[in-house]
Amino acid sequence: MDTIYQIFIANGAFATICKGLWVTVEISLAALVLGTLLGAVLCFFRMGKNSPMRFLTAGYIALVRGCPVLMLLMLLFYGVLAQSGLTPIVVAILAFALHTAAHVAELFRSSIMATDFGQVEAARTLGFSRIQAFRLVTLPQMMHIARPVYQSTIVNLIQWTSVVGYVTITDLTRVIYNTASRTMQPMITILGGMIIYIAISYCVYGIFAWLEWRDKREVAE
Amino acid sequence: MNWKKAATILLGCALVGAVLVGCGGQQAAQKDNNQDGKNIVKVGLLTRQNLSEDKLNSLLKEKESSGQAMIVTYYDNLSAMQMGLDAGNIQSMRIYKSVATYLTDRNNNLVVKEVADHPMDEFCFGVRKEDEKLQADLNRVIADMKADGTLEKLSKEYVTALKKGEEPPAVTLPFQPGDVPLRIAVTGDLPPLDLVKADGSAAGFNTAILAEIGKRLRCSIEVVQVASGGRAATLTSKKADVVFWTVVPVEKKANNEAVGIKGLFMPRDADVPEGMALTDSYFSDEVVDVAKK
Repeated sequence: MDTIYQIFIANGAFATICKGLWVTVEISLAALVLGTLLGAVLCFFRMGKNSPMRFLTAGYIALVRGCPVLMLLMLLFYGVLAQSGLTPIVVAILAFALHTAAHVAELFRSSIMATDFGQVEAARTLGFSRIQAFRLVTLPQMMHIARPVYQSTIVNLIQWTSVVGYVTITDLTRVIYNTASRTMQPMITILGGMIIYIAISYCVYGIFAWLEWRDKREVAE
Repeated sequence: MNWKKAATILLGCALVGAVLVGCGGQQAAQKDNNQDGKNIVKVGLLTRQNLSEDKLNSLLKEKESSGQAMIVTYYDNLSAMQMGLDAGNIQSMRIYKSVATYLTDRNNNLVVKEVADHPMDEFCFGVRKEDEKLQADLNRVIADMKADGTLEKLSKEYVTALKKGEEPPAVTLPFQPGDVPLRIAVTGDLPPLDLVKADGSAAGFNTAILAEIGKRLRCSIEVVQVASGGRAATLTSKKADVVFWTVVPVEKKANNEAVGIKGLFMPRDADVPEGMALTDSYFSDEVVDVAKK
């Protein structure tokens, strides 16, 4: 117990771990919001009738999905945006958002394709506008279909952020490595770090489970 | 259905158990010892940035004596190497004596073993090749600190005189608001030379040297934390102005040969990436093996 106290709590270690955790959450949340918005835009062009845009977005998705996120992050931070004056955290958010967007775009596309197009046609026949048909018919079904994979995308994103130590950011993983080196207790420290990451993942699972439970209750009522 | 669940859980537990005990890594390592009738020693080494593991192993093979062979495995940081040793993937960690002492002070299952010929590595700063003025300034400060005994005093305070289990004291780095700081990349991976304290502040012998350099050059110092593998990129992309580096010394030997691992020839620039220049060394430390008791 004393070893665990010395590693994770003593002399401000707990506050340092919390700071690292906040950096991880901050990057993940911002990248998720930005990535989802960008992913929706990409999906729109990917499924649109404009051939050059369709070709471009398909190329972007193939390129980014095939590229390891650490390579993309290092390319942006040490290359493309090296002289931009952007802080490392902003560059990390951009890199993860670009990467997440490619995955989310494909997720949205597959979810839309899984919905019954006949229902949209029926709605249009009943006088719904295109936007209304999408908002009231396609979107709720698409969200329901996309939810399990979107949940995994969020958990993956949180785990991907563990490489930001390569671009001078002290996130949870970096704090755990520093602590392991300082205390020379890598096994216990990394196990502790792993438990924190699992706890974050289970928070995400919990939110989605609650959403699902709420939907079921509404349907039952 | 229940049988299926039980079988899945049992299989899962067996898999987790196998992973946690290292999948017989120790036995695998021992088996290698007897391959081709040679005694193979598996040694862990911190990753060299500019000398690949394969290249180093092929160089070592040329130096191989009959009956004795060495295979080097690179690790990105000390923690990973220590876990490799625990799992039996390597038989010893080849690290600096000061780091080995810090490690064995905290882990009673490990022991320090001296290496034949007592190879020494030197610690210096890496700067961008075009930053000639900075390189000259750092060389001047290092020479001054050597001459007035500051380096010796600091190495005693932060390395050699540390009591068992004690961490090196915290250092206040000079910082003047409005100054353009000298940005120095630290990894926190090499205590007591380079570590990050529990409160998240950079500490250790290297940081103490930085504070002294800041005072003498009358400039602010900003510490940038980066993973060991990202040091060169951090420097060349101008995200930091100075990085810490180690080199095998060659000046003391004739014909540009150094006493490295197994007397292996390694030129001073073997581990120096393109675009980086090194300063004079400010500290040297013996290379030793750390193994299980």
